Amino acid sequence: MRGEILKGHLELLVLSALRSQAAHGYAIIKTIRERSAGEIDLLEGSLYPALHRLEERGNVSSRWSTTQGRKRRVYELTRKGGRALAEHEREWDRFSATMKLVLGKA
Amino acid sequence: MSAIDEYLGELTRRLRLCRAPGKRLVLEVEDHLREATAEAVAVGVPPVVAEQQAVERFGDAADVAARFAEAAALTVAKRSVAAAALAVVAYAGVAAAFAIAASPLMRDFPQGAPTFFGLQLALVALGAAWVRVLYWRRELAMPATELRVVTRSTSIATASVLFAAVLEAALALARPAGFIAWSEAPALVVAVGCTFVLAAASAIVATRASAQRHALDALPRSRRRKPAEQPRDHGRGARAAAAILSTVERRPWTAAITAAMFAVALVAAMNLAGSDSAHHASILSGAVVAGSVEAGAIIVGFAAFSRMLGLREPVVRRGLA
Repeated sequence: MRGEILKGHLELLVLSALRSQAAHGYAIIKTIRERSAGEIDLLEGSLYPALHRLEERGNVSSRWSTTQGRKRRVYELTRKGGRALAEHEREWDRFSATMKLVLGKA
Repeated sequence: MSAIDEYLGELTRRLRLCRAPGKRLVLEVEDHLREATAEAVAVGVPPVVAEQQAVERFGDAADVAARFAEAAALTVAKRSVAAAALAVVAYAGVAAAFAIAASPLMRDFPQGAPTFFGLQLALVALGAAWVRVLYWRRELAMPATELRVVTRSTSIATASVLFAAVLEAALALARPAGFIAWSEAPALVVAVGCTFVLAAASAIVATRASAQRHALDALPRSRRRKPAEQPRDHGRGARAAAAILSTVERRPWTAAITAAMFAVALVAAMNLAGSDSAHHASILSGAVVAGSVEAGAIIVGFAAFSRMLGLREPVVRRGLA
């Protein structure tokens, strides 16, 4: 699953990957891939503009850490981000339920 | 040179072309690629192949740079609106303080006139930029036409404040009384200094935002994200403000003439209220002349700047009102 179908849902995916713990970019991609059993395979470079925007809006905060001599930026969900995630989830549930009804799968 | 080093070099070069602040991004990408490579190597993939795969999964460096530059340009544009707003508010405060506290300064024509007209232009420009930023604030990128209007508007707002301040200072120094003495109102002189610093900072941010926008404009169309015609989500306030802007866009000259007529009435009323002359005829003629000058300035200002401020050309915001 890639490209158009995920357009607009990247933020929800990123915020949900950060729900339980802080993580760096690659760990976020891995979490999304693992939770979707490999179905969601993001073009990894698309993650960083999304993180930039989420940080700009105050939905995530970030800090540098050092691991094995490499500088690493770690992202964390903020309280505002938690509220945004809940809102995104409600929207998604509504959208998903509506699509099931339309497709006759409900 | 390894595939990762080559990729990081290309990404740095592309980010520089887009004038995007990429130092942090490059460090993050390096960590990302090296970790992906290490994981693949740990399960038996040869290092050269692992690096190549990590780079391929990350995506084309030019595309990544363009996406990041779009997000960064919107951020800088938002900051330029905030910086310009700060400079305009500070200047308006200082001008008001001069008019109230420092007796003849800023109240004796031609002093005060550059401030009066400069602030009006700055406020209109700031309003045009602010509405657009408010409207697109939740999107990853703003359409190029809108971003262009925002960066131009903040440049115009900052330039008007700086121009008015310099002209006022020149007028004050040209007068026999000279500029306000430090001993007369030290707090006011400090406030003037702070205002100049804020205006200079705003000019720097506005220049940076313009440079980033120009760099984005220079990118091939294929590299750019196809912008949304409308944002997915925006507040009620933003919708109302954008509807007013759409009305001005549809009937620009009607809006300008209405504003001019309103200004004639307002300036004439202010002159009548502020005058202490006993000659009613001279008060009235003075008020009419002042009102007419203001109306003329609005019409001339609108003719000169409305296209740059996006008030007379259709922009990508269909179906708003």
